[in-house]
Amino acid sequence: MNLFSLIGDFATFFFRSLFIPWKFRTSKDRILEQVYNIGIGSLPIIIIIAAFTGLVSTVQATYQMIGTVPRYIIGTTVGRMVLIELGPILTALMVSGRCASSMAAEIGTMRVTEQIDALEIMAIDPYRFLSLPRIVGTFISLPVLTIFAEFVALAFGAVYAHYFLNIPFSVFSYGIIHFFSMRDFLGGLVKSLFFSIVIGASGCYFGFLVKGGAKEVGRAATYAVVSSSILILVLDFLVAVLIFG
Amino acid sequence: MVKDLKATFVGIFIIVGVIIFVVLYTWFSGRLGLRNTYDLVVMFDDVVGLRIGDPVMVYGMEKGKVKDMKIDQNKIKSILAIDRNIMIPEDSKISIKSISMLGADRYVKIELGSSDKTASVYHGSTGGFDLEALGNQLDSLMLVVKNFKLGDFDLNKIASKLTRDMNRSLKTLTKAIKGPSEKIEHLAIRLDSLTTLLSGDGTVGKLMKSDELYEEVRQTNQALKSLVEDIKENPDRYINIKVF
Repeated sequence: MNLFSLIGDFATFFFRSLFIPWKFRTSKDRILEQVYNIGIGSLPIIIIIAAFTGLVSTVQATYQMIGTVPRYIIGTTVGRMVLIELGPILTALMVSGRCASSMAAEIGTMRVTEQIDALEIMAIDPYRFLSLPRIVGTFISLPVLTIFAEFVALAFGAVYAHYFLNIPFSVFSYGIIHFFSMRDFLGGLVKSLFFSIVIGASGCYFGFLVKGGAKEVGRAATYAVVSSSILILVLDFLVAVLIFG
Repeated sequence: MVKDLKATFVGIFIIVGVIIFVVLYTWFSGRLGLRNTYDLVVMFDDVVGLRIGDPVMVYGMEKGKVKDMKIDQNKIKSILAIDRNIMIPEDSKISIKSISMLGADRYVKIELGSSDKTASVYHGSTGGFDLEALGNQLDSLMLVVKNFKLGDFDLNKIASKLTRDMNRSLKTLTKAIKGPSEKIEHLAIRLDSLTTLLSGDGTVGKLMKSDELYEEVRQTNQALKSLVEDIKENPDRYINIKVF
C-alpha cells in the first residue's frame, strides 16, 4: 500500500465511521464505555505527567530567566507553555500511547478471531459498532483530560515556585493573568480536539487493517501509536500556524 | 448497576472538567475575586492599555482590581472592585500608571482625598508611561540627528584647533594685562599708605576716630549756633559801629 492509497483508505474509513447514519440512543452506552476507559482510565497517568511537566517547566523557566526578568515573567512563561503546548501535546501523546494501541489491538484481535465478520453477518455495521464510539469517546475525553492536565501542571508549578523558588503565589498568578489571552487558552483546547480525532481514527483504522495472526495485531498497535504520534505533531504545527501564526 | 456507576463516573469526570475550565478561565482573566469588594465607577478619557484584572493601588498597596471596562459615549467606563475597608473620597485623584517601560504593567493609582463624601462616578486621568509618544519623539530626534551633518567631522581636529585658538587668546590676554598691571601695582602702594594714614595714628585718623574730638567739634558747633542766634537777636551787643 503506497502513501496515497493509505491516505485515501484512511479518509474513506474515517468518513464511513463518522458519517454513517447512527442513532445516539443505540451508540450511547458504548460511547459512555469509551469515555470511561479513555477519560477516567487515563486520568491517573495524565495527572502524574502533568504534575512533573509543571514542576520541570517552572524549574527550567526559573533557571533560564531569574535575574534577567521580573519574577512574574516565570508565571507568564510557565502559564503560556502549559496552555499552548505542553498541556495539549503531552496529554495527546500519553492518550495515544495508552489508548490508540489498545484500540488497534482490540479491534485487530476481533478481526483475527472473525468477530467482525460475525457482526457483519448479524447485519451490525462494525464501523458504527466499533469505530464510532471510540472516536467520539476520544473526542469527548481528550479536551477534558487536557483541562485537567493544564490545571494540575500550573498548580504544581505555582506551589513549587512558592515554596522552593521564592516566587509567591500572587506573583506567579499575576504573571499568568497579566499576559493571558483567550486565544492561548482556547487554542490549546482546539488542538486537543484535532488530536482526539487523530488518536481515535488511527487506533481503529489500523485495527481494522489487521489480516493474519497475533503478529499482525502487535504490528497494528505499533502503527497506530507511531502514526498518531506523528500526526499529532504535524497537526500541532498546522493548528499553531492557523491559530497563532 | 455497573453501567450506572460508570455513567456516574463519566458524568463526574466531565462536570469536574467543565468546572476546572471555568475556574481556570476566571482565574486567568483576572475575574476570580475572593475578596469582599464593592464596585467603583471611574470614567477615563483613555485607558492606555489597561486590562481587566490589573491592580488598583492605594498608597502603593494593592486594594482592588479592574473588574470591567467598556466604552460609554466618548469615555471609558471602568469598574474597579475595591476592598470594602477602603473608602474613596470624592476628591481623590485616580490615574493610570505604568510600573515599567514595557508598558504592559498598568495599574490604577488612587490618591485618597480629604473629603468625607463619596461620589457615584469618579473621573480618572491618564498618567501612564506612554511608550508610543516616546517612540514618536525618538523618531523626530532621529530625524534631527540624521540632518545634523558636519563636513569633515573629526573630533581630534576640532580639539586641536580649539587648543591652538585658546593658546593664542591667552597670549594676547597676557600682553594686554601686562601694562595695566604696573599701574595697578602703584595704585595698590598708594592705597596702602592711605590705609595707614586712616588707621588712627595720623591726624586724619584721629580726626576720623577720636570720640573726644568729635564731641568737642559738636560742642563748638552748638556754641557757634547759639552765638549766631544771639548775634541775630542782639546785634548791638557785638556790632557797635559808631561814626561819631
